[in-house]
Amino acid sequence: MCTDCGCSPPPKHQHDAAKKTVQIEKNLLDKNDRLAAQNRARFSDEDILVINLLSSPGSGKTTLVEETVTDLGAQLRFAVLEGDQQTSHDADRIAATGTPAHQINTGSGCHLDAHMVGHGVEHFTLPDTDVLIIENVGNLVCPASFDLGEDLKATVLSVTEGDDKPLKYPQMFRASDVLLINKIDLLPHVRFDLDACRRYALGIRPDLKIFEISCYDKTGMNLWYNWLKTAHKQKTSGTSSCA
Amino acid sequence: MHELGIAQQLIEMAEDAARRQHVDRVLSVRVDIGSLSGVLLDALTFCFDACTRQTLLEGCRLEINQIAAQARCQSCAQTYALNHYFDSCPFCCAADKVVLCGEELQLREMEVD
Repeated sequence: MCTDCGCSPPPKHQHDAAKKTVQIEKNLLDKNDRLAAQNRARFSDEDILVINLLSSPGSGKTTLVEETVTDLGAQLRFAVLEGDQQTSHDADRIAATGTPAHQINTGSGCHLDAHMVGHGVEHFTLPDTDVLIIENVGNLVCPASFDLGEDLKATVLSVTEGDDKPLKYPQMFRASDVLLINKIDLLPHVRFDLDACRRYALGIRPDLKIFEISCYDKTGMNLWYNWLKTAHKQKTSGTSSCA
Repeated sequence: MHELGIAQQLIEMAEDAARRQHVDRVLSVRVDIGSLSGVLLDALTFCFDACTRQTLLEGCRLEINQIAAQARCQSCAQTYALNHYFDSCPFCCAADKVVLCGEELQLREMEVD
């Protein structure tokens, strides 16, 4: 029956008044956010600390993960999801350390989303996992918008990239809980104003936790490890804030 | 680049709502996009037009309501326009702030036939 005039059977005629407005009021990322909430509940049930690791390509994310899972492997059981457009190079590197790793290839996609992560973790034995590291696609823009169900977002910025990255890509630094300024051993050789970088980043996110690290000469790595262990302890004891 | 994914989600949400209303054509959709949401409006419009083909939204008008960001200073409690996240308070120069609006990414309503 025509809902406007009540004529029946269903009319072929048009009513101008047939146009109607439907209220929706939903976030455009609603579907991703719902799947992220499911992931988060599942990870919490299993007492897993989940880190979403973000950066531009080439900042040293994979090396940081290799070092972390190797040095802390005796204390925490890691699993690593690797996101790249193509190849399984990164997952192969992590698997070579003996840590469970799975590669997600996004094809032309510029970020991981909650759906990919939900299926990605099917490759792990979650009850045997303490910390899940999700290494996102190298990109300082798009991954900032997509919740994966993580506890914390950690962004890696290397000193070879430029100290003004927080100003140029503010969404990413705004969304991050932790900033790891990497390749700090190269500081004498590059023009990178560490104080300015910190000031820019803290201007965007005042409570950002910042580490200055080098995976090459191990500067600052112990501070990062201790923080990660504390964050895991707080997660399993039910304390909400780790940063 | 993530505007493609956002456009696809927008279309999926609008199609779901249209089916629930038993309508087979969406004439326009109205979205709120905050100035700090990280979405490039031209890219969103381009992706929307490309992805609505052969959907209930084919030929649909995308109406974008741009929302300028505002912040409240955590130090002096004044409200000010926020052009960039890095902007500090123009009244007292403090950096710490609460973003009041400007991060929206919301499908508000749609007009159906």
